[in-house]
Amino acid sequence: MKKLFRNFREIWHNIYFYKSGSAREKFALTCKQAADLSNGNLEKAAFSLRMRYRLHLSICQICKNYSEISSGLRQALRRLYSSETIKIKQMNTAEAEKLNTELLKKHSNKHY
Amino acid sequence: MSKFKTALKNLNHEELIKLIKDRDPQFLDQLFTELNPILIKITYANQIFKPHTEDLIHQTWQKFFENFEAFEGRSSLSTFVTGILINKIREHRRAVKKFVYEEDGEKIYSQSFTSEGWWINEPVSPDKWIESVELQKMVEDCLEGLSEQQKTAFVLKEIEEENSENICNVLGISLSNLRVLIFRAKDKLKSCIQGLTESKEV
Repeated sequence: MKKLFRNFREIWHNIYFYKSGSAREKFALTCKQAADLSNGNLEKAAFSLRMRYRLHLSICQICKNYSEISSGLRQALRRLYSSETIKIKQMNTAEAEKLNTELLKKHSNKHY
Repeated sequence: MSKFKTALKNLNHEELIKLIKDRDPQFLDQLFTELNPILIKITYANQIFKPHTEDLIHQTWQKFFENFEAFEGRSSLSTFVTGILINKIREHRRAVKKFVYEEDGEKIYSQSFTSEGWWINEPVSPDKWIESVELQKMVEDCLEGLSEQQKTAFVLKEIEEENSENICNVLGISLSNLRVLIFRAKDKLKSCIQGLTESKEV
């Protein structure tokens, strides 16, 4: 089933990008433009640009793979950084405040 | 933007240097309160935790107060401070004998696409490793292969969900540089994880 979808997407991708009129070609994002958005400012992009990005993903298997890889890495990284072993090694609020106080004592002109 | 950041932006260079020189406690308190959280995040992004975090931040501010006159105001103050921290992280990595990576340029990013904007090296389906329960451990191991800037940009964007403008401001880079850093970080992690998955299958 997955393969069928993949084939369909590839065919659609080819039609959409290579066999459509020039106006549509301009509307379509290239893979590099899609990757730029995904690695840059997608969250701040205009609604129409985000839609064009979604449309690109829906028809381009390669970018879909790239997007899945990115989201897999993001999830793994989030799990890693929220794991107990890492959390315990991070500074809590009190420790961060203590650090600020130490720095202030060390560097300000006021003698504590 | 915080009130303090806005106030900093409105100061001219001489006024800012004078405030730093005077070591006014109120100003320094605000400066530390504003910048230390991002410095802490950068150390985490580079997998440096307690007690090294405190040490590196102390060293960073020490260096800052020794060299603040070299600050010419071309970048923001936070960029100047984070630049010192990233150098300190590099020194720390060298001291603990970890490999220090050089930054990759825009060229490598462009080389991944044709001039028309299509993939040259197509990312293959991640089905093989994306489900792996060991992925988290693999990511942890593979993070070692990223440069300090790549790790910082990637973690700040993906974990801390900082917006792109803030990251660019902190690292003193353009949006296009940020895209390159994140692209290369993902690419290196993907290749490293693929390598680990394949070596386990053999």
